[in-house]
Formats: sequence, structure tokens, C-alpha cells
Amino acid sequence: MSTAQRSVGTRATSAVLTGGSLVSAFCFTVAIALEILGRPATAPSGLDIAAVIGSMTVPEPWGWSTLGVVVVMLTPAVALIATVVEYRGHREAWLALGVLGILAVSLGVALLR
Amino acid sequence: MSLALIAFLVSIGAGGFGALVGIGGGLIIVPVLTVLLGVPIKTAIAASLIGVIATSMSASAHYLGSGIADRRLGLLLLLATAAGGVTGGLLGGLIDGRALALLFGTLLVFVAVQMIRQRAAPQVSIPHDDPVDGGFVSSYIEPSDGREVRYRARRMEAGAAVSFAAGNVSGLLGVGGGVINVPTMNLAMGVPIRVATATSTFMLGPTAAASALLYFSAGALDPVLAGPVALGVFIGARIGARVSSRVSQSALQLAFIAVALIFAVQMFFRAFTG
Repeated sequence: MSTAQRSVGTRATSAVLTGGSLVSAFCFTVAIALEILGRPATAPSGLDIAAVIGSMTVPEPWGWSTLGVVVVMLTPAVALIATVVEYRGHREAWLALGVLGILAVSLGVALLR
Repeated sequence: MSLALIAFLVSIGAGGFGALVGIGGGLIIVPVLTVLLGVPIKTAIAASLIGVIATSMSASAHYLGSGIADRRLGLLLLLATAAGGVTGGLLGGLIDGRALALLFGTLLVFVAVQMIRQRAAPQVSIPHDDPVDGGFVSSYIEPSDGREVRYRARRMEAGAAVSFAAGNVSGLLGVGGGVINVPTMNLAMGVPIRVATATSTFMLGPTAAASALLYFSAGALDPVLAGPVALGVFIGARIGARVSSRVSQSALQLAFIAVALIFAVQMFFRAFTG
């Protein structure tokens, strides 16, 4: 695969990474702005989706920061899925699937705790 | 001022300094949070990992779009670093905080010594057109003059083994792993330094994500701290990259060596006194 082909075949992956960066940066910025405004930063333990949404709507820094952290942790996996789609039929797709498998193992271990 | 806001401001400085020296923010932000702000080391490591992913995401989008990151090489080595990231993340949950402080202090000394050696002697790398060994041929467009540069990535098994170790270090201590990956790719595998740096950056995100999930599930990841740290490191890295050509690299390296050794002493003190 030439350099030119490689560059063309990265648009979706680059878009996912850029999108994840922007969304997470927005969430973190809102959280910091709420901190500056003196909103309470108390946090429930663990990841409770209803609590996150509730905290975001109040609004509190914890909910926005948690959403940003989740977006940051998920974006590399979504980018790898984009790579699988972009490179289907090429060796890169299988390699990306392998890495996704390792991330799935990590997620599995995390959920089993 | 709340801890999160202080961490945000400190992270801008750490991210900027890390980008200027070329070692990423994790090596600085973890000791700063631990030694100066009194954050538990596992919480600091988890927050740093989120910063590593955020910085990698942003930079990788650019590197992939411009074709500088070698995606095939990155994905191949990523199999090893991500696996290392999982084991590092698991170990990080099991190891006592004092032992982590000891390991982190040792890593700081290692990086400082490496930097001193780099300053003392020029690097010797494998010629990129050397026909020995297998690997695969790839190329990139050199941004400075627009020409296509061809190279052969080789010694894949050795590269994968070192990458696994780098993933372990990343997951265990919350640093990027570039301090290990970049010299390995460049000096041992024959990959041009520009491609090695970009490819390593691309690899850091999924590697740190594999570890961060484990810290999150173990309750060590505090989003209220990790968010400001990630944004601060990200902003600092962008500023550092912009001004890096205007400051003396040699003076910065000396400053980093001094700071790393001071933090290493503090980490050793914390490890032995609790």
C-alpha cells in the first residue's frame, strides 16, 4: 500500500480521533468552568449512568468529567473499528481486530471486578 | 482553589515541559501530583493515563492524516504494547503504592541517564537501506522537503518484545512508553525518527486505554481529577510543540535531568518512608 493510498484510507479513523478529542475537551472544559463557578465536586463511586446524567443536568463537574473520561477511554477502540472498516481485506484490518480483542479482554476483566 | 483547578494549571506546565523535552507529560505529571499535591500515586497514574490517551488521540489524527505514522507497523507493535498495557494495569492494581513510587523513581533515573548518554554520544542506527533481515518496506512523505522516504522496518520480534515491556511500564506507571518505543523503533528496527515518534504516539492511545479501564474498575480513577489533568496536559503539549523551535533543546534537557532526579529522590523517599 503506497503512502498516498495509506493517507486516503485513514480519513474515518482520523475523524473518529478528532471527534473524540473535541467532545472530551468540551466535557472537560465544562467541568473546569463549573469548578471555577464553585459547583460541588462530590462524586458517587463507580460508573452509574443515571448518576452521570443527573450530575450533568444539575450541572456538576463530576458528571461532565466522567463523560469526558469515558469518551477518552472509548475513542481508541472506536478508531480501531474504523480502521477495520477502512482496511477490510488488508492485513491492517486483522491487526486492528487483534488489538480490539485485547481491549475487549481488558474491558471483560474490568467488568468482572 | 480546588485540587482539580490546581491540577489543571500544573498539568498545562507539565504537558508543555514534556512536549518541549520530547518525553510526554506523564513522566512529570505523576510525580507532581504525588509529591507536590499529595494525590495517591495510583490515582495520579490513572489520571496521567487519561492525559496520555487524550494527547495521543489528538496527535494521531494529524499523524495518520499526513501519512507519517506507519499504521501497519504501529498495529503490529500495538498487539504487544496493548497486551503489556493490560498486564501493567493489572499489576498496578496489585502492587503497593510504595513499590510503585520506587519503580517510578527508578524510571525517572533511567530516563535521566538515557538523556545524559544521548547528550554525550551521537546515536548510531541501522542504515535504512540495509538489505539484511526481513521486516517490510514502507515510506512516508518528508514534510520539510516533500520527498518520499523509503525505509525497511525490521527485527519485528525484538521490537514486539520491547513493546510489550513498554506497555507494561505504561500501564504500571501511567507514562506513555514513548521513552522506550521511539529509540527501539529508530535504533534497533531502522525506522526513521520522525516515523518512530508518530507511530509511537499512535500506539499510546489504545495501550493506555487498556490500562485505564482497569484502573477505572478498581476505583483508582477519579474523573474530577483526571479530566482537568487530561485537558491541561493536552493544552500544555500543544503550546510546547508550538514554542519548541524557539527554545534551547540542550538547556531544556539539562532542566529535565535536574527535575527528574529531584523527583526521583522524592519518590524514593516516599517509597521508604511511606
